[in-house]
Amino acid sequence: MSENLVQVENAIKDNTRPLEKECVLKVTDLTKRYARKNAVDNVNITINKGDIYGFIGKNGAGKTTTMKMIVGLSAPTSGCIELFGDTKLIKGCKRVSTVIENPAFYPYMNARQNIEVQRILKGVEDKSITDELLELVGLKEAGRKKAKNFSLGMKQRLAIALALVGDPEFLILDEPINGLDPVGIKEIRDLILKLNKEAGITVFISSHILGELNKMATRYGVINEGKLVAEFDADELSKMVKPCIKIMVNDPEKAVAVIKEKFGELDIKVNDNTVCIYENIDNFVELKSALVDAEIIVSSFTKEQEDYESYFLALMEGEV
Amino acid sequence: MGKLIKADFYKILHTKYFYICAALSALMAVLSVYAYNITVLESYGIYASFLNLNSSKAILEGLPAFGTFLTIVISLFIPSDFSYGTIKNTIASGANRISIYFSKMTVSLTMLVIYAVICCAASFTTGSIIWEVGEYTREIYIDLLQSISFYLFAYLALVSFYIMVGFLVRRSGITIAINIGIPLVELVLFKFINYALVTWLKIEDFTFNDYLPSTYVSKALNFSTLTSQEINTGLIVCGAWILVTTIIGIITFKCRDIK
Repeated sequence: MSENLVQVENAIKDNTRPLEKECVLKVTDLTKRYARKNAVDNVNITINKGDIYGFIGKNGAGKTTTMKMIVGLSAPTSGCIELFGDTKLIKGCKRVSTVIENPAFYPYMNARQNIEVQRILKGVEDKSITDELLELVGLKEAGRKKAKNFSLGMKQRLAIALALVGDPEFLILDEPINGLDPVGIKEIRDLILKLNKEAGITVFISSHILGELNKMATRYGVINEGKLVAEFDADELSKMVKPCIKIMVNDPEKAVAVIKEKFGELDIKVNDNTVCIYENIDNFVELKSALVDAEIIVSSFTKEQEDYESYFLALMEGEV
Repeated sequence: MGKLIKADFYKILHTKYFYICAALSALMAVLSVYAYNITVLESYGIYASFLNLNSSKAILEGLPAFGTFLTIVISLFIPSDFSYGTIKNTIASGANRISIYFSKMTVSLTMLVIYAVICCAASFTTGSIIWEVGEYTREIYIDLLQSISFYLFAYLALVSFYIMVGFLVRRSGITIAINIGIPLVELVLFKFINYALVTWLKIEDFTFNDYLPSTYVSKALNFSTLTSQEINTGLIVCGAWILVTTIIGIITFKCRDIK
């Protein structure tokens, strides 16, 4: 505590920012050009330690290409990638693990043998990590079953277990919940949250299942046609996704006039007999009594949050 | 690179094809010795034992039996990381691409030696049973050692070519097709090239075969009959093949993206 205070005092003196989180990944003007098209076009991303960065985009938007360039699977046409403050990717990659595109493993081996290969590859001496990881991802009971006979959910969990060998600090997951059933999606989501909260692993996760990302991500980047169209954190998102008060009435036009008279100009839309107010109105009692006083029959009154998926889609279409 | 080599050995030793092909190589080595025995019987009308044949002759007769099977094993092993997608795990964990290439080369070289030892052991045993063990003088030891060493070095040039094809093609099926198909195409294609060079370009005394490792693989089994010039040419040609194919393989592997 006192150390922090000293740091703050020094920072004020030095005009620096000591409490700023460590930057795990910094991508500057990253571009990948295939033939005549830019698959990734001047993308800038910053991911800090402890973040769960949700990378959102349609199929073919450039998510996988960006991730591949970050871990050295694909060479950028231009731009700069810094992993843990170092531009030498081979050095930085030793602290990173990935699951890119399909879960990659040896189908003729069982889960234990697959983890063994990865353990040898990463030079981890402690053999007990194999059992620990199998336990963590819930594959301890898979026994001698060959990986090729696993269900999709088991394959995804095995791929994550492989990625966790060697205690990575930064996990890059490309669409890890693709093709999973709701139970599988929840399992993977819980696992990612657990890894982030308990092991402090920074996560860079891409998906086009937008509703899922907002259950775990702390920061977001939206990519469309190779361009990063927006970057914001979870708090900013909740502010941007407007609440909606839906009131079902017998006379919507009169209701709109009454609301405007009482609360001034608001963002109001009318759909059949439903009046939707896209603003924060704290005093519901006042709103209700104003409508009742004007002899308007109110059959329902609900407060809803705009669907995140609709918001993300609007972002990707460039409508926001 | 030690970790990569260790992991590659773990992978190959957990495949079924490694053991199946090793068993088939041993079987072929045994059959090769028997086949030689039958050939001698049919050609000369006498049993091979009357020609003073023994286990040392059997070793050289059975040694080439692994050829096709080793080609299959290498053609399955090298592109396997690409087809399973596991090469992404390896590269993304910070492994250097040159180290990955040399690790595969080391494992392939070891497989070459293992398969050669298996074939030698199988043919030695068969020769000892159907003929006799025979006398092993210092000269015979040296001749055997020179023949086998020259054979393995020439074969390493072929293995190096198979590895390069595996890294270029990145698909097991196509790699097998190319590596097994090359000797068949070689017969026709290289004869044509040789003809073209001699007839059209008027390059006299040119034999294209002299620049192919497969020529020296065949010649190695009669090492004692080779002149020192032939041996030197063989060493240079095979060395050059190893060097060139390795450089091409590494450069393309380094430059191409992983899909």
